[in-house]
Amino acid sequence: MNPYFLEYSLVGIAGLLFGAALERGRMCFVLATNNIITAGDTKILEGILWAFGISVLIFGAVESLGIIPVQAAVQGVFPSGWYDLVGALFFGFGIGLCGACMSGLIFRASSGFTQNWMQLFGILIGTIFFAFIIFPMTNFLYWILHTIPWLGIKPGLSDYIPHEWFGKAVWGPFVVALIFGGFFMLFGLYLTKRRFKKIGEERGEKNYKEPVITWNMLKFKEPYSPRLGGLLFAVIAIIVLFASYYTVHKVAYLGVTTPYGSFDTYLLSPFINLYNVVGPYKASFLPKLSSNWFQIVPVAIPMTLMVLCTFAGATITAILGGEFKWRVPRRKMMFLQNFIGGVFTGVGARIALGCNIGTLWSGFLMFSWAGVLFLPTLVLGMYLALKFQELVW
Amino acid sequence: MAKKKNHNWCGILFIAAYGVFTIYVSRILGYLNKGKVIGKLSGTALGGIKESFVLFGIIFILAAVILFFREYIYKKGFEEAVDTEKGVAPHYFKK
Repeated sequence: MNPYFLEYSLVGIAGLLFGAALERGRMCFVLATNNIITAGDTKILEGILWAFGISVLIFGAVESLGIIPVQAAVQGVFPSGWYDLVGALFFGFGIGLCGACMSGLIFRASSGFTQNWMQLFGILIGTIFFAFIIFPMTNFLYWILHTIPWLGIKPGLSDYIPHEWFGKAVWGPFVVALIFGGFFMLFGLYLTKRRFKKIGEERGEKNYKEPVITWNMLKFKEPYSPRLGGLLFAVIAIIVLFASYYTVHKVAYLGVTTPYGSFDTYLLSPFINLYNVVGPYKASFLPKLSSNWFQIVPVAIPMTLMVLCTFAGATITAILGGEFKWRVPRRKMMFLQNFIGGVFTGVGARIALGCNIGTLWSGFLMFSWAGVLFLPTLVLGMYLALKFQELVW
Repeated sequence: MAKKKNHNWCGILFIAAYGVFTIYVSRILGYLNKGKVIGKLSGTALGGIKESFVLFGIIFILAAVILFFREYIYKKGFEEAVDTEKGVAPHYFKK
């Protein structure tokens, strides 16, 4: 069997599961933040922390035990630097304007939220703007490969924390996983315990608990508990890791915005092959064609099929759960806001080399600094978007 | 006759559209790959990728057909959609 067919098919199945986990578990960073600010509810954040904690711990164990060789894992690691901070700020502002991060965007659009389709359109336009204007004008690739000393965190492309902290020690990945994953897991468990205690006190039940999984969840009669969503997230990341390594011997980490950006080339292919287009600006040190961002990304990666399957999976579960409805916002201005937010989302994700899935979550899974750097300015960007909306509306 | 209140027909069309789009992508990958200078896919890779895209395209279209039968033959298409905001943010415990 063709190994690429096997890899893409397995990742496609993971994509269907991913869509179901997103839609049923309401896994959205913006929704989690909004729920905390408006209602003090940490339920969705707990699910996200479970996803991060479980997956990081398992990835550390897999690498330390040599099930996936460290050399293979390192080859898939993203670099990190100033671009994570800058990109996350734009990205956070964009998703704050739209009210949905990349994961939330997929399940909302798949449930029929029209404003999120405008966000998706905005991301496509933002990607083109980045590819033909920002990327060549700023010599973007140069600044990734040659990190500015006073802005860069680490020079070069390799940024694997276990090697930086513990050299070539085999237990390095697991210790780093214990530090990051352990923190996420303990914080998630603490929040769950605190929430149960609070609800128990309000209802007069001493040992109040919520099940992680019930029959009604499996029968689509009620949404998944976010902790089940988080658990599924971790399972999906592991499927993708193993599927890619054991088929084409390359390690793949989850990502959404880079393959989604490729949709520009697919949609425009009847009219133009974007890979051949040279923009108005040309980076001086690169071959002419490299002055186009599309030229440096492959025409398809396993995540391309995964994104399509995620949309399909989320739409299928929305229909099965009786929640699909064509929803038009009352204020038509929301379409414009979501389009502008989408452009910011697209540009930010390109600058940061990924979104809250590809750079934040996968950054932690790669044991790269990318995730750590992405988080603070992401939160700052979302906060600025909230303040901006308060000012305007 | 009860009034139809959900838009599942639209979701079903979406799933079918994803299927058509996935098959369409499988057809144009070769053409797009010709324009690549950096990161060009090998013939084996392109063949495997195309096959997987076609497979999932067919799966999506079949899923749309099954959901169509479920919605309009089995359930008659008259079930009301779950409340919008409850569907998106069901976890509030407002004090």
